[in-house]
Amino acid sequence: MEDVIANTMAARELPGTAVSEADGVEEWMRLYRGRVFRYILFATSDEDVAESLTQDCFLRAHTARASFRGDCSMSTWLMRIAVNLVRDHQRSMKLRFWKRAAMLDAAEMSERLPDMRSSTEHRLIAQERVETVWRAVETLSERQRSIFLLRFEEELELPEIAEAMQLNLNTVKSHLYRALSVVKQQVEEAR
Amino acid sequence: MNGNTSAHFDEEALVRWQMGDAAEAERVHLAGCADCQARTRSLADSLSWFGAAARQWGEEKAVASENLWERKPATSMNWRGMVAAWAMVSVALLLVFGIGLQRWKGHRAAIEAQVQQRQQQQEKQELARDNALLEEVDQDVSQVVPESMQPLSWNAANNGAVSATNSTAARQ
Repeated sequence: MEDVIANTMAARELPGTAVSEADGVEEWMRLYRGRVFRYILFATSDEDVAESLTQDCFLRAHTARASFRGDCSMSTWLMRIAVNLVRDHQRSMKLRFWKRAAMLDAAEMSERLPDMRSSTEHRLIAQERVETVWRAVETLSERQRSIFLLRFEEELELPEIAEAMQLNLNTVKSHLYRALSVVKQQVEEAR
Repeated sequence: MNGNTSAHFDEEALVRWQMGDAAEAERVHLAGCADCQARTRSLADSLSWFGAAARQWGEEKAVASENLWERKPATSMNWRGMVAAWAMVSVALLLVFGIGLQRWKGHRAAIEAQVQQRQQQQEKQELARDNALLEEVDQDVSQVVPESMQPLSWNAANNGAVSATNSTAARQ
């Protein structure tokens, strides 16, 4: 099974982006920093935290590079480190009664839709949907939110998410099913 | 739906399809069923727009964060730079301590030489004083009779001479 997952992931690596541990942290950062930062940003809703945890992620990867055995892709391995960092961060935030409010601006994000050659009305509908989805995502549990983001924002396949989250594939499916049901309900109510 | 290609998507199948966990039969059905396509379109579009907007916005934030990070002088170094900087600082500290230690050793040797020289001078002076004192004592000890007792010695000498004369006379 692990071979199948590894092969699937290796196949998803873009040509020329396969990185070995010998390439060094600079090359990893050049290739994967954006992706790791994005995931952490949406998982924590805090730009400062995302920046800090992204640096931590690559520092940890650099420190633990000897433990990377190549049984999954480099990006999945980095995402696994990022998932653990986010999890640790969220645990520490739970202990703080002044837990920070979500800092991501849904309206600002919705304006970043790629160029849609359609009417203004259509564009406004799309923006409203993006905001609705984000509001629904914010109500999800930490684990559901992480899985949802890895699937629909980072576009990872289900086995990759299981690998990154170090969860059973069926557990991932179960959490994603619940998360998606919540989002679907919100989208239908907003229509 | 359970593999029946003719049955329409129920809610569960719809969500599973969005997850990317649909069975092959469900995919085949969706490809040919306008009704199910219409039902999936709303959520599919919403998720697609959300993903695109999130990636675009996140990418902008990542680039801005990276630029900001690069502008920070303290954190603009890469890992190799940081290691090199630490190595340079370590070498500089070693040099400072090494040179300082050598200088301190030289300084200490000079002070020790001065102290030794002074001690030798003091020892010479003390030896000279001791010799002078000993000479005085020797002079005092070399006198047979102290000056204050010289008259008594003269008497003793005279008495000796008188008694010697007397004894010579008696023998004669």
